[in-house]
Amino acid sequence: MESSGNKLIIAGYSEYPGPRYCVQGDNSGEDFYHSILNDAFYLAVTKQEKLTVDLDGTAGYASSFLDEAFGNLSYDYSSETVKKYLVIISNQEPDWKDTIMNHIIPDWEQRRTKGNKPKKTHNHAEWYRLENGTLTKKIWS
Amino acid sequence: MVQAGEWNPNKKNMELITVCHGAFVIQDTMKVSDWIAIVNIVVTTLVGLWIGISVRRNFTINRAVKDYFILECLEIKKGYSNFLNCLYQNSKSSKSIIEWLKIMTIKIDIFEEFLKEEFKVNPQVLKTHNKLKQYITETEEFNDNYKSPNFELTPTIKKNIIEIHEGFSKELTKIVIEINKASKSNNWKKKKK
Repeated sequence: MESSGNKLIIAGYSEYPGPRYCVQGDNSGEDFYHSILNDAFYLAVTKQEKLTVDLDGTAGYASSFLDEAFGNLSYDYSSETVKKYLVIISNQEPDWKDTIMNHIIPDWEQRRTKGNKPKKTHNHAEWYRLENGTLTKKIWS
Repeated sequence: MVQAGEWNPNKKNMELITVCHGAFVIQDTMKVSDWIAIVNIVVTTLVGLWIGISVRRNFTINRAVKDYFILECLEIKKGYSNFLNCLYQNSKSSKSIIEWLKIMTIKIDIFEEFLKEEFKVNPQVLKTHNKLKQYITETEEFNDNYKSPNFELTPTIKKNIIEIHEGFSKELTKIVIEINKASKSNNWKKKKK
C-alpha cells in the first residue's frame, strides 16, 4: 500500500478495487477498511492531522466498495470525526468525492445512531472504534 | 523629315497631352449623382467581397466546430448503446463494467468541460451517467457476481437501467439541439481578444 505521510493512494492497495464484501471477491471495500483505512485514520486522528485518500489511478470503483470502506469509517469514528480529518482526492471521477462526503458518511452515521451493525464476512483483526469519546481497539461484535 | 517606322519623340508627347486632357474633361463634366453611383458600386463590391470571404469563412469554421461537438455526442450515444447491448446479453464481467464506466466518466467529463467552455450550455449528461454507474455497481447482483465472467441482470435491474438510459439519451439530444441553436451573438461564447 502506497502511503506518504498522511496520504493513502488506493492504487497502491489495488489497481482493481473489488466488490463490497471479502466473501464476494478480492480487494473488497471491507478488506480495504480493515487492513488499511481503519489504522491509517487512527494515526491521523491521534496526531490531529488530516488523512488524504487519493482515489485516482485505479481501473475504477464499484459504488459498493466505497460505501463499505468509508461507511465503516463513519460508523466506527462518527461522521463528525471523519469530516474533520478526512480529505478525498478524486480528479478522474470527481463524483465519488461528493458521494462519499455527502451521501455515504451521513447515511452510515444514521446507521450508527440506529445501531444497525455492519455486516462482516471475514474474521478481522482488532480495529479501532470511537466509543464514549475514547478510541478503543478490539474485535467488535 | 521623319520616315515611317522611325521613332518620333514629338508624336509621343502629343499623345500624352491628349490623354491628360481627356481626364480633365471627365472630371470637369462629372456630377454629384455620378460620384454617388461610383461610391455605390465600390461599396457594393466591397460588401460582396466581405460576405464572400469573411462571413463565409466564419460560417464554415463555426459549422465545423458545431459538427465536431455533435459528432462527439453521437459517439457517446453509440458507445453507450453498444455497452448496454452487451450488458443485456449478460456478456460483461463486473470488472470490465467498472473499467468501461470509468473511461466513459473521464470522456464525458472532458466533453462537458469543453462544451461549457465553448457554448453557454449546462449539460447534464455526466450527472445521468454517474447515476447509472452508481446504480449498477451498488446492486447486490453486481457484487455477488463479481468473480463471475458474466454479470447477469435481473428484470428489475434491466428495467431501471432502461429508465436511466432514456434520460441519458434525452440529455444528449438536448445538447445537439442547443449546439445547433447556438450563435456567436447570442449564447455562443465570444472570442477572447
